[in-house]
Amino acid sequence: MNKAISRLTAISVIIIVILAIIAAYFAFYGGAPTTTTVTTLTTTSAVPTTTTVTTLTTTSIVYAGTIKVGFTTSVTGSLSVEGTRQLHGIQLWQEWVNTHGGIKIGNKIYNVSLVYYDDQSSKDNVVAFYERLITTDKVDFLISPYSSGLAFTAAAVAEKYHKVMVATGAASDSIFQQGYKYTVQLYTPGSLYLKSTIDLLLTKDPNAKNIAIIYENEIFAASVADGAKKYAESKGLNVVYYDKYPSNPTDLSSLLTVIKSKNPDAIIGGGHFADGVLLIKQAKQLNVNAKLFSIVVAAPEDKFRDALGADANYIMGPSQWEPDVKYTVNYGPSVSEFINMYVKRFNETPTYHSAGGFAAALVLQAAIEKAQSLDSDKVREAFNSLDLKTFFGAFKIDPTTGLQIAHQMILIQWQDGKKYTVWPPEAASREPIYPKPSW
Amino acid sequence: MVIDIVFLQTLVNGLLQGSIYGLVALGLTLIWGVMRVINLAHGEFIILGAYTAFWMFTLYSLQPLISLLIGIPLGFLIGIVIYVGLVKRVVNGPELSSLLVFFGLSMILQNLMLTYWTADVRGLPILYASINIGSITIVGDRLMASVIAIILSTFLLILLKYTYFGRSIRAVVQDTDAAMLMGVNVNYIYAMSMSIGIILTFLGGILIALTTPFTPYQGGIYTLYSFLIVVLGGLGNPLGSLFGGLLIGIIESYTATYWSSGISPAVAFLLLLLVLIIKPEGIFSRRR
Repeated sequence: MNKAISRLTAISVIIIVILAIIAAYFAFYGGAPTTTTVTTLTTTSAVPTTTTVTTLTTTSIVYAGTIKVGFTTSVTGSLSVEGTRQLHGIQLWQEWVNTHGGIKIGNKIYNVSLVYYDDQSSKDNVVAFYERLITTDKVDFLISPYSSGLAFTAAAVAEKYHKVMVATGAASDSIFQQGYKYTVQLYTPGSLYLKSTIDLLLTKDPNAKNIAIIYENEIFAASVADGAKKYAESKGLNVVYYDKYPSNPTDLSSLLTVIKSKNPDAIIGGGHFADGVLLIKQAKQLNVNAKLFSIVVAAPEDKFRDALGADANYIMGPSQWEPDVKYTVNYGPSVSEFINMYVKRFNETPTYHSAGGFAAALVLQAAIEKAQSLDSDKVREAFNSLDLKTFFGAFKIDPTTGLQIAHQMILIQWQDGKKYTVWPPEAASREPIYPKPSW
Repeated sequence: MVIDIVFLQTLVNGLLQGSIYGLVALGLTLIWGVMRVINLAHGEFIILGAYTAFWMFTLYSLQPLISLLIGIPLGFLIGIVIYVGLVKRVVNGPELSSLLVFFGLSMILQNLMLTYWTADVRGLPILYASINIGSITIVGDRLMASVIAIILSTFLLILLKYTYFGRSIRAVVQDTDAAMLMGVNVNYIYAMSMSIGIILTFLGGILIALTTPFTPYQGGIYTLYSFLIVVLGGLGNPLGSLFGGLLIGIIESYTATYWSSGISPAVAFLLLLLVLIIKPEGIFSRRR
């Protein structure tokens, strides 16, 4: 009995000690279980920068220090694939800017360091880490995490501390309807996702009259559909069918039956990946034809072709960026320079997530150079007058809200099992095939 | 005239989808009726069946019709293993424990599928061409799926109605203790119903692969719909669940055509509420 009690006591003591150690660990690291993954990249490109500085000193430019850019990214969790690509883009920019003369303010030259944390795709971590980036790490500027949800959370923190943040990987409109002043957007917002589709339709077919818009009953898809409807109507098109379907639908035949009876010129919309695939599959099965199909989210994915095979052909879809775009740039590296650097550094073809990471940092650089200051308010002011054409496309924001107004969704089309950018003409690598042949 | 075609097409769509719903719910109603346990992993077994069809087709170019034959022994085996390994231990315990066991099982299955087969959307290409009768289109894959669903359901009904084994199952559904006193080996009936239930669920999954793209995450939606149909049709009433499936299919289809596709799940579950309030034993069940 005594023995049993003393064993029990021993076990309890051990458990308490373990708990105490864990508690102390968390208390010390501010409740952030991810501290082990914290990385501060200050030294990776110190050597090349120094060489640049030495050559430039002779022309009376002085090395003045380091600009710290802070952000979180999802290296783990549900957004890890996209988050890692976005991180790669930002890392590549840091290396690029430091080996290309840094950022000049007056006759001073700054190199750039990145301070970032793994947010594990969680909003709670985003709040804690952005607070820390601003208050403890004292970063000069912020870039958003990947995804609208996380970027929204970070935007609230940036606003609280009056820090400029470039939102990338975030196409939501709602972040910019909060009256926030310090967040600026890189991606085309959801409400303009299908604008380029409608532009293509009207350019290729001025007689097009009727379109059907269908979307998943979900906040982002709804804002895409709403924006498309408004734009289509402003261009004189009849929206003959406008309806939503539930998330994870198992059958869209009735919706397609009604669309078929309305005989629209174009069927546009979508939501997530699975429903986009189901929509096209059932459209074929029910022989629902239109001259143009443009499906958001699903169609630009390579897996779309894997899932549908030859039925993916002629289907279009809007994308923020694709490696085959042909943009002329007035700032930063060209499209091919970016792709070459990226492939060389990471041994994979960049996606729009990667390009968005680089471009977010690049427009920040442009704003700092324009402001000639590291002051948050002055840089935010400078953003208002930026009108850039980078490898990512156009960049111009609405001065009051920070919403992106110039960047266009490019439109891809599957042709012979391959994906080509077909719109806008200045970015296209191929002519669009219009009208789509019948099933 | 146009309206008439849309009306008829909607009916066809509803019947095709509804018969698949019906088959998919059969396994759940059988297991529930016999053992009074709710198989929360039902949807995951459906997805597992869908993966069977997908892999057989992708890796060995086997048609889903052949996968159905493979699905029968596979489902039987899984059913027996689950019964002996898990269900037998909780079937007479409190309801919550069987619920938790199946919940755990659904999590395990979902995450195993996610880990080994990724979250990628899978699906079969169009295998059977659509048939046009006048202006009405009957989707070939769905027609094939619902014909098989109806054959399988009929088979189960005959089994239950006309064989000694089937009568034993129905006896257990009605009153386990009385059945036992009459010499029915309840343990054996439990094991067999579990296996037949899983086989049907599995085969339902194979047919789902034929009609709808799927991911490991989509098990939940099928569990939910099956649950709805089983309640509508009446607990442990296979014919009821078949009619329940058809009813839901048709209701959803007409709601989508004449109101909104987005509202159709709400309408379906509103019906569930009404049934629970007005006729809790199910539309197609006689009051006991």
